[in-house]
Amino acid sequence: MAARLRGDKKFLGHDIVKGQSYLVTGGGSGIGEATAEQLVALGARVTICGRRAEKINAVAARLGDRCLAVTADVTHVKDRADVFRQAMAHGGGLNGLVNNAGNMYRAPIADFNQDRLLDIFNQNVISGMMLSQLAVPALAARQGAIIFLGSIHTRRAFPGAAPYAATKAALQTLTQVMAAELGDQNIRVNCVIPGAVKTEINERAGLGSTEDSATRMTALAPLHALGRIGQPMEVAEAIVFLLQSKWTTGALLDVDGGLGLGLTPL
Amino acid sequence: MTLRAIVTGGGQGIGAEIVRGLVSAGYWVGILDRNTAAAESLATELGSSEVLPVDVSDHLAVASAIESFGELDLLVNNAGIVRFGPLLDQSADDIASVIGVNLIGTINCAQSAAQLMAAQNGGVIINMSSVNAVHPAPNVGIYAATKAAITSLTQLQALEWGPLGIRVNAVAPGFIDAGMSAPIFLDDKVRAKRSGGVPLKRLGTAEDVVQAVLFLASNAASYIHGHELVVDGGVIQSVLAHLPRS
Ligand SMILES: NC(=O)c1ccc[n+]([C@@H]2O[C@H](COP(=O)([O-])OP(=O)(O)OC[C@H]3O[C@@H](n4cnc5c(N)ncnc54)[C@H](O)[C@@H]3O)[C@@H](O)[C@H]2O)c1
Repeated sequence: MAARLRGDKKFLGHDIVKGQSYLVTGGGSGIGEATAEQLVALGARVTICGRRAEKINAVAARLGDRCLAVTADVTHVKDRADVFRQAMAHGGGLNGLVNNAGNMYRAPIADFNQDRLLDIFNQNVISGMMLSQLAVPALAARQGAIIFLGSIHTRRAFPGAAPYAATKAALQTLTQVMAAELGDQNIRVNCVIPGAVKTEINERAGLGSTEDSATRMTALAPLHALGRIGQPMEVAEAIVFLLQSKWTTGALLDVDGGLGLGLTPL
Repeated sequence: MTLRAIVTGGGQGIGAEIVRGLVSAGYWVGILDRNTAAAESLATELGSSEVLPVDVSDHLAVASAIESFGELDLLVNNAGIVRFGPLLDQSADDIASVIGVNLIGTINCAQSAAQLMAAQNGGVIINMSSVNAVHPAPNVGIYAATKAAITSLTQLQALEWGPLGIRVNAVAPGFIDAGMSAPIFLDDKVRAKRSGGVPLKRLGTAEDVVQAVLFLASNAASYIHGHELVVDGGVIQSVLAHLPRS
């Protein structure tokens, strides 16, 4: 029998996103780019930001007028204020903040470097905390949502990746406390936990060439219960679901093809 | 091509709303319920559905009903019961009944469905868990333990059936103002107290659960596998959640 279609791509919530306004940090590549693309395709207005102007400008050019690119480094106070102001102007308010910008810092314990540790916590955790603080009043006015990006590194231990894993665990806990704290302002706070998804983050971390990083990712495929690594758009779809789902808050949504289950192929 | 689903316990409560959601999303739905009258009247109202008059705890009856349903894209393992009361007061019958429906029933339906799906290149299974699986509340009897077992079962099914093309996840609803817990919320005091303990300051609706089910059933969730999606207004994140029912 021919393979059957397993469910239409459209689910109820897709309609809700239309006409709304979202800010996606780190929208120049990977999961952030896919999220911006999906939100724009569903009729939303999206502001993306990133450090590399040519990257984010190219994404905005591809996605059209509903996508605005702002060159900004979210670790800088002034840049955060600027990107938030522009997102409010571009979308006429704010329905959702996707704290997607993040970087990888791997180091075995013997090589921990204090400046680099402070820097990775600043990039991955503190920037999102402070941007959320800026956005809360605007989000409260729209019953809006905040999304954080956790990681499979909190479900499985990868030796040598402690710095990155610790930042992601911080975000997951932050999600739960912020959800409890912001509930009475009707702001939902959720987190997606992606499995192995091929994006630039691994290449930027200096894990070797594009091919090296692709080989490493492919080697992870058999550890997923679904037998394959994921696509950025599959994570983006989960983010879109959490942005519009009216009664899900404080959730840590694994989007990992079953990698977190800990499958060991025999 | 019309997608085909079976919803267990689809005759009333949250299950009936799931049936409604699937029918309006274009599915043909098998309403599997031991409450035949409720299932029949829903099927008559909605069309695009048929009744499978079966008790989920009956292994043989389930196997033959699901097999004769034929092509199957989606199973929503929703049938469940609860016997409220202190654990000390649970009778042998309470314990056996709740385990029989919630745990054995879930296994029965999933096994039969997975056999069909494996032969047809895959499908989606969604098991109905509960926030009680994550943090049990007092006076739910053996219910919480059966729901925790469903969490574990979901993970095992994902591991073993993922390679067969079957995507398996669970939904864990919180305080829902429908179905088995609707009677609890008829008391205004309990209602105010319990909704006040939810960070989003309201009880959930069956529709909130339906939305999560439709998402997990759709291709938008194509990489979500072995997960338990909590739909609870944040209640398990809040220490205020552990409030008595009365
Ligand atoms: N209502 C809530 O607040 C809540 C919260 C968390 C989880 N849940 C879960 O959601 C699911 C649906 O619950 P509900 O609130 O809609 O309950 P409900 O009692 O309104 O509906 C349950 C349905 O299952 C059917 N059923 C029961 N035993 C059966 C059996 N042995 N064989 C076939 N059908 C059977 C019943 O006839 C009924 O139609 C359950 O699994 C429940 O544990 C509900």
